[in-house]
Amino acid sequence: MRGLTNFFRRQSYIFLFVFLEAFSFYLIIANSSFQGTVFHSVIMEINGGFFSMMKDTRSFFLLRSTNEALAKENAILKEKLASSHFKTLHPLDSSLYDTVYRQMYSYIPATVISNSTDNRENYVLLDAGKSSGVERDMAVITSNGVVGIVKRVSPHFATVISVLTENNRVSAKLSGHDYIGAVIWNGFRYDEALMVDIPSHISVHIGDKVETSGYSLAFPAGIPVGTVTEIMTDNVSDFHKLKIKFSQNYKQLDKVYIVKNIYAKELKELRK
Amino acid sequence: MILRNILRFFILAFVQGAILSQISLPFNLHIFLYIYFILLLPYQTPPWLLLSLGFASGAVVDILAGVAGLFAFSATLAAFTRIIFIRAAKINDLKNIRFRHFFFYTFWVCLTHSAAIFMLDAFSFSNFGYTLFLIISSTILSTILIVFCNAVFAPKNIHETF
Repeated sequence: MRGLTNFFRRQSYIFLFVFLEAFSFYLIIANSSFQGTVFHSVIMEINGGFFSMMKDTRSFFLLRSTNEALAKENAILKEKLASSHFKTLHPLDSSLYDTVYRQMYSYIPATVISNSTDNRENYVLLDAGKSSGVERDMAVITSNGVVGIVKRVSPHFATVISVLTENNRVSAKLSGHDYIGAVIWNGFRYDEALMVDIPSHISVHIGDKVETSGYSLAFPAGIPVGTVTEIMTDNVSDFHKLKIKFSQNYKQLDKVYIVKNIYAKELKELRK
Repeated sequence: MILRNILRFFILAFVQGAILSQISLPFNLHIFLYIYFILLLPYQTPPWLLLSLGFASGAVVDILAGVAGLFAFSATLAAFTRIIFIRAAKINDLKNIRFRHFFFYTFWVCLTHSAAIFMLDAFSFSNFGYTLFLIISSTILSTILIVFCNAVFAPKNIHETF
């Protein structure tokens, strides 16, 4: 008996080891299901503060390319202004710009302050939070493509689950067709993904554009996702298997937009 | 002595969080340098303190990496491996350790650390070959970097003889 107590006294650090491991394991598990607890909020504020400091130094050197990208985007947006269109008498055309159309999405601009692409679950940290009106489950896009879905929000920051998350599905379609498929990231390369569930009788060509379907509550329709680079469909399968290249380079994320679906609540109620 | 270790702790945590976690290497390779802190803690450090410091260093890197628990778990395991290895290999002084011993010491601690990181990160056995590749590659990279750092910053600690 004394031998046993002596043993435990000498090896008592094993209990500490087990305790610390159990605690960290609990944190990992809790991390995947918790939402918006004080703990995470505090961690995000510290993490966000640190990285926005780093980002400030880095972004100074990127000002030129950032300006160019924004100017380009401005040009595209200007094309869409009412003043860029002439009035037409054709009833079908005019209805496109009719007041009958109600605004469905509004956009909150944000800057990426930290971003990962090398893990199997990648996260993006944004410098906009609750105080800017960001909420959980909002979509995040850039002018080039989709980025992800907001997972957690603290007062000044938000974390986004990147499209680069293993087995993550984005509802998508080939532009020009109405068949809905899904884009799945397989966890290896930051610029490649698979597209599945498109029926195999549809003819697909390399270079075809892939865009969001608009069937998810978060992403608006028609946001670019990527282009088809390889058709890997076999003859027996009923569905295409396509390799696509993302249109957004996820290593160079900077300015993003958080999409607020004005009818999100209403739509969610309906889907219950 | 204590001050030196504290300073090393913050420098390594900063380098890990601000530089090594930010750069991307081909094939999604990762380098974990901050466990060098656990490796270099004095020989006399009691086990409970080693484990607690391992946990603390992991928690700091966790915050910088924006995750919860992943690095804390792995760094505690690394500290535990250190305790076991020092007992098993009957090392009785870290200041005058032989190169061969230091190499294997580093290797085993890196191996358990990266194994924990990548298995927890994947959290499944799908694509296990890929997980295994990540574990081995990052173990080798981290070991090389740590041995290299040790040769540069603390050359006197190690006997060159095998």
